[in-house]
Amino acid sequence: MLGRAADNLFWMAKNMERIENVVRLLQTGRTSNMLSDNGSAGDNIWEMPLDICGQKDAFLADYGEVSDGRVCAYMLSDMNNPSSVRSLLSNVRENARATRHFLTSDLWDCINRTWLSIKDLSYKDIQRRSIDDHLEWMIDRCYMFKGVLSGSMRRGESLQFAILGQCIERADNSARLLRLHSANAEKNKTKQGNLQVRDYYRSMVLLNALNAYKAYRETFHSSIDLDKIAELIILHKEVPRSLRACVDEIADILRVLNPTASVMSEVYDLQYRLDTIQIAQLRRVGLGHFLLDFSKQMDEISMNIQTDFMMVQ
Amino acid sequence: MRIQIRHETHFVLEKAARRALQYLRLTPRNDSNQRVGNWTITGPEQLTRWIDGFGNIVYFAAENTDHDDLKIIVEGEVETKETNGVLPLDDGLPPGMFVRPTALTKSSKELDKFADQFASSLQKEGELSFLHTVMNELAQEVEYASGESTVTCSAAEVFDHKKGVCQDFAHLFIAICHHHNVPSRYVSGYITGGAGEPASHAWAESYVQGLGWVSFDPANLQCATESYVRLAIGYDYATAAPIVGVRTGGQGEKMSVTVQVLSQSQS
Amino acid sequence: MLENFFDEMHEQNGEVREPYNTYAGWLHSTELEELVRCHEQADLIFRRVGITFNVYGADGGVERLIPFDIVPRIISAKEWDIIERGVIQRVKALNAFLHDVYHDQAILKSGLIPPDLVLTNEAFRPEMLGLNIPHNVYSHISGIDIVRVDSETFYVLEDNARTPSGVSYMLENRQAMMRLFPDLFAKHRVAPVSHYPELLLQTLASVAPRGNSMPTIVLMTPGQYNSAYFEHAFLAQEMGIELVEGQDLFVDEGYVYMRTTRGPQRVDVIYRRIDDDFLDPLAFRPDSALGVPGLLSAYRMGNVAICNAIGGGIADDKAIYTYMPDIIKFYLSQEPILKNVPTYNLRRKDDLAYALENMEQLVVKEVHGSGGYGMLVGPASTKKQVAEFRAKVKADPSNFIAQPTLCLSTCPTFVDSGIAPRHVDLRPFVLSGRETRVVPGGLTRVAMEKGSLVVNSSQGGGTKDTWILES
Repeated sequence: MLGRAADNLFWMAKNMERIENVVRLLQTGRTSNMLSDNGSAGDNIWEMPLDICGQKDAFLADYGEVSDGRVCAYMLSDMNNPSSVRSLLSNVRENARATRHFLTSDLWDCINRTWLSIKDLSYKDIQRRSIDDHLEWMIDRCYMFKGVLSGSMRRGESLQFAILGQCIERADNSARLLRLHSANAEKNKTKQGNLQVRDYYRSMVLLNALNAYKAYRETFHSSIDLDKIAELIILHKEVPRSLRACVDEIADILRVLNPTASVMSEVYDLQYRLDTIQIAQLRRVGLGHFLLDFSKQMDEISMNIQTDFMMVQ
Repeated sequence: MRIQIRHETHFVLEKAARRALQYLRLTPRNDSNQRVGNWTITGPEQLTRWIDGFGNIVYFAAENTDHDDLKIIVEGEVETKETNGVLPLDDGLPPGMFVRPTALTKSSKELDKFADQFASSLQKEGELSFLHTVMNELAQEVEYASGESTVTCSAAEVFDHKKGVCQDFAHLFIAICHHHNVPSRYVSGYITGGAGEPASHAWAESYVQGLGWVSFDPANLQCATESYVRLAIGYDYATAAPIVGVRTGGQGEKMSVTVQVLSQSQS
Repeated sequence: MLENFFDEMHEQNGEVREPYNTYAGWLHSTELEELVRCHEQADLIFRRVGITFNVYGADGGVERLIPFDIVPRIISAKEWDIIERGVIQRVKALNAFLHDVYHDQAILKSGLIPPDLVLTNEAFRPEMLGLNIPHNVYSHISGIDIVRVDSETFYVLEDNARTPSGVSYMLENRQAMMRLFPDLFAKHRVAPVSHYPELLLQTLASVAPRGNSMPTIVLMTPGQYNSAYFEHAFLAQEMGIELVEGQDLFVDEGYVYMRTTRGPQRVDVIYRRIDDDFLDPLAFRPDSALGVPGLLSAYRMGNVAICNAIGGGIADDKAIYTYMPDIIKFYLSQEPILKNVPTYNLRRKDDLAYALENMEQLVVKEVHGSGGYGMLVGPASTKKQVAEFRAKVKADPSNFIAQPTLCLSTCPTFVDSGIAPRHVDLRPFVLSGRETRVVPGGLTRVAMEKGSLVVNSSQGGGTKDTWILES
């Protein structure tokens, strides 16, 4: 298939995945808002979405202060924010439009309808209808996208490039969230007070944002702790949002696409690192350091996929 | 006359380009007025020869790797005939197609007004005399000066400034002829003898009933002699240009050109 | 005013015309609410599949839905026979003319057409001179715009030999109609059109260089912001070929390749939906980022087919149009089956004087204009507009032609007030490769405004499904 088409499909799915991640984070924030504890916790949960997408400075310049409403408005419907759901979805649709003829009509229809439903929706409109309903609806649409993608597309290159984009974004998001979380935990360690409880809620935020709370309970049958969360998110391949699961899937797809592509060696490297790593050891070298490294490697892989397969000039 | 030419075009870039693609009209046409021997083009990574609609020999040149330096060298021998500017050619191109103005040979009110004065010459003395008159008067009206115009200047613009180089003179000449419906076209080539240095050059050809195409070089006030070598013809500079190119990336291009006549002898 | 026009469904005396017999009965017995419901459902179908049309300069988003009308335009087998033979004849003549113009120019030498009309025409492309292309076919896909003025007379309004668009509407309209009105299709023998992409693919394959029997064919689009992008994507998908932009292609040693996920792949045939000027920045507009540098070299070397060929515009030039009957006779030694609209050639003094005098009654068109732009419909224009146009014509008469305002036929159309007659035209699509063929049907365009004669989609026109009844 055309390199440019592959590139568009890759970005279409990558951006759709990012939407889901943003929405989950907002949902998590809304939930913890309801807990009285959190308000005094010090680390503002509403900064997370801004930190994750690297838009904090831009946000502060436009909105002044961080508050739940402002962040939701900024992350949902602000077209000046390239990481807002609306901006991202507009890109998804543009990507899809550019490769319309590679998509099943069901998939195009799914994307197009989602876009048509929100393209004129201001934050006020969303508030009027209920923000929580809107977030839930968005998650539904993301699931529908994934379902239609894997349920209707021919098992060919188009689908594989889309899933590649999805996995890369997912791995990147998990790594970023975990990194942010561990940094926050580090920062708060020295403070006195109701640390245990707040730590618990912070961890809940992370697990919920990664849709991994249930998986944690099922895997460890023990109380919540950061090392175990890190182990789950980094190493447990049965958790769909774990780094290990994402990297394995990336490797599987690339092997099918072209086993001799130059990017393969980097992917194998990464797999090897994840194979041999131990969480206790990670604690010593610094979890943050490792995760930062991981994100950089994902960026490299992503770029090499573009030169190997998409003939990006 | 047997002329041996070496023509080097050298592009230097401040910031390297990833890719450069060009059409090179740098191969003399083989016809009854000039015979071409041992002509070579070298420099670009890849060269593909084809013939354009005007019958010019063109090379598609591609440089596909990063580069900040690109040389195009043409070298070879041409044997020319002295025909007093007359080219009894049948190149299959209907003369009638050469009265169409292009963006570069477009006239203006002022230029039209200037052209009007030659109407009586055309009517009374005929085409040949008219063409000589146009050539002479043009040289009076417009000053030869380099650096005053670019290759994208139209005849009308050059006439406004009254300053230009050989291709501007050719465009002006063509525009005036078109105004009087005399088929005229652009020639790019080399001038190898005479007073000045050998150089890339441009002049015009007009179609005279009964004679065929006759060359006029308004920049030098003469019809082409045997020291002229024809490379390409077209409507204007844009369609006959020796080099047109596009580039991906790269910045700060500087170009230098040297034309050498290695030997010249009567045969 | 409308009652003076020929109506596709009703005779002057109100009787139903034969092709509409069954349909009229159905329409009569169907409640208005039911039609409203179908109309709304149609709208939904089109919005869902994303059939949109980009409008240049329109505010508030670039996409718009072309109004689709649920009342079909029905044509009898006998009527279609005339149209079919007529357009095939016309396209054969157009192609013969194009081949001649870029080779021996016999028609110019014969004096039948003033040589300067061709040679100094901007649509005449010297790049094509002396180039031989497979089957001597230049216009592989031609759209011939036909209007009807009475039960007997069809006029060709315009030939489109460059990149005619609209065929996707012919196909999608049919699909929508079959979903909306399955019963009606059971009651009629409507000739199918859905094999058009297959015919198009065969046509494109038949002109591959050196008779390559397994050519790689691509559809080249200017990109997703082009007004007809939907159609480009649709056709590429229907034919199973790649939809490429200039940036996806490159030229290497005289051959064209596309950049794929498995490396460069050779391309043999380019169905381009991009104008000549943008094909190759080294040969045409140097500022064009849409094209492929070097494409002309590969084309002239005979290593790639470009459909439609470069330089076809000289055949659909409105100034050449007036000579079409002569062109048909000259190349085919046949009488034209379809008539030209009587046309005033404003290069001629008498015609010009007449046109300037009677501009209020005439349709005046720019020779190179298209899409309903650069034209004046005298009777529908204000005095000021007429005066302005008169001045434009006076300044450059040879740039215009004039035609009497035609009594375009009307067809019942679903509008706000119910079913009412609206003016229509018809564009059948003729495919030329090894053979010249046309699918039974075409794009019926309808002026949705009461009394309007402008059917162009860029000017608010809508479309209808076109039914050719099998005998």
